[in-house]
Amino acid sequence: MTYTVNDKCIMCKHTDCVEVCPVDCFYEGENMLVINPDECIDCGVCEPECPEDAILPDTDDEGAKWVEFNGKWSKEWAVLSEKKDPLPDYEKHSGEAGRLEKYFKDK
Amino acid sequence: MDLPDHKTFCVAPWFQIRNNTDGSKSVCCKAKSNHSASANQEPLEFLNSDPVINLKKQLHRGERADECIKCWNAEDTGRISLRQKLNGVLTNNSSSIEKTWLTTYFKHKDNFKSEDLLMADIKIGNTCNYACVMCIPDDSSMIYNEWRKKPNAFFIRKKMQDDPEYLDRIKQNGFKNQYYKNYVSKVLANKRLKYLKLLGGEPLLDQSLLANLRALPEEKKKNISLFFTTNASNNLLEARRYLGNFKSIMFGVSLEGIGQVQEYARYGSKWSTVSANILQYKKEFPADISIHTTLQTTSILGLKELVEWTRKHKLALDLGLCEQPDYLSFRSLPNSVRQQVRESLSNGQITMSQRTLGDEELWSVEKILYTMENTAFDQELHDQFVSYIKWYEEGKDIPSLKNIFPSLFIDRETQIIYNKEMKSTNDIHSK
Repeated sequence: MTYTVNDKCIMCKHTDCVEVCPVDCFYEGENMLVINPDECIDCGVCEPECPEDAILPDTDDEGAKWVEFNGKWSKEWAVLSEKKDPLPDYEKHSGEAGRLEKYFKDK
Repeated sequence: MDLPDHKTFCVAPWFQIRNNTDGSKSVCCKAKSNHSASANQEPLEFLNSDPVINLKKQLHRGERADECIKCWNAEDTGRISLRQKLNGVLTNNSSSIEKTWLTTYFKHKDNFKSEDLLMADIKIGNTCNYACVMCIPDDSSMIYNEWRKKPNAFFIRKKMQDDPEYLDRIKQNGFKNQYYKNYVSKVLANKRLKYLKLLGGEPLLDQSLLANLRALPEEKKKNISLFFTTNASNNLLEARRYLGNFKSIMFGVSLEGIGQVQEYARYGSKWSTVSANILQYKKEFPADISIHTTLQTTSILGLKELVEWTRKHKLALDLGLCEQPDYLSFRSLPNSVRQQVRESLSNGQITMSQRTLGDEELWSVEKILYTMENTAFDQELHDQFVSYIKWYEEGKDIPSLKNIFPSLFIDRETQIIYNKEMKSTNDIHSK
């Protein structure tokens, strides 16, 4: 089992999840975070922290869809260990659908 | 100083410390925690504080201190108390205090001051990968998660009314918490440490803790016995190899049952993984693993299979009873189920007359049955149990308990046992 971040994180990146993660398994792209599935210890503490509900366990169908994506980009991006400010326009994008297609950046 | 009274002496207030989730400390996990101390208090400073000195004096002169009531109750009902177990650990199980190093210790003392920390129960926060049915956020981050996601249950509303900051505090209890890191360092710095018990949460998830233990000097390791209270989700054999040459490394595996019973009660567990980890370790280190079960309503009907499995694999089984939450205690157990439990164990010939694994375990089975049959059924608690199970199962990919053990559910009005055709709790109450 692992937890995954989905595209509800894109353009928001609140990082409340990073603050509570006991094993520092969040990785930071330019406009979203992902979880390294191999490092996640399934403690579940990050899930309720996300204001956008962007974190789900892979036992959930929606969460399972993002395992490969999270695995791929966590290998490319740098680990994030401390909370930081959300992206400037997070309020504007809150709740917006289809963010992967509209805004995802592979950096 | 005279030698202590055998019937009340306990090594804990002299040589042991236990930290609690809120940063307070006590001399053991059973003592009433009226020895609250600041989070930054040094271990020896705590053992030499006035309340602990008073406790030592009471126990030394043969008085049964009120705060140790759990041990007195255990001994009065024929069980082995934690006091007796701890005395055994520190004196190499010698039945006579006179034959131990404690004699020398007390002969040369003229006060009740502690000079060494020899034993420590280290609670490593609440980070855990299981959400067990009887657990609370203090002990599991997964349960913390569930409380946050499903906050409208009766027990959560009550807790949050009584202590509105509760979940905000718990949120800070992960491995990153600086208090735990500092505390572990303080404990490990004691030169004569003999025994460390590590519990969480799930202590084997804490790589930083394991690395700190592994990095201890070899000379120090040789004198320290480690005991992990673990859920066996991680490979125990690998953990032992990683930790290196300690005097001993014991794993006390918390198990609710076998197969489906375990997977239901300890959500997140996979029986195939847990059992493989246990048996693999047992094969290499047969004396260094034991099974610990706290029986409660969802697991009692699986007791027979659990006992049979542990016997088959010659695993020591330590049985306890769930007291809190009370709606999972035997008080919520329908009378008809009690008979069912008794019959299943009798049919399996698990009786007092069969003593194949050691008296303690068999005796415990009998004691469990005796206690169960002498605990009155409480309909209010049963109703709470039904409500709780509905909350527990919500959003989880597990079979319903009503399908696993239908007899656990009875209708308040008719006292009829639930049958599988009834689809939900609401159906029962509408009959």
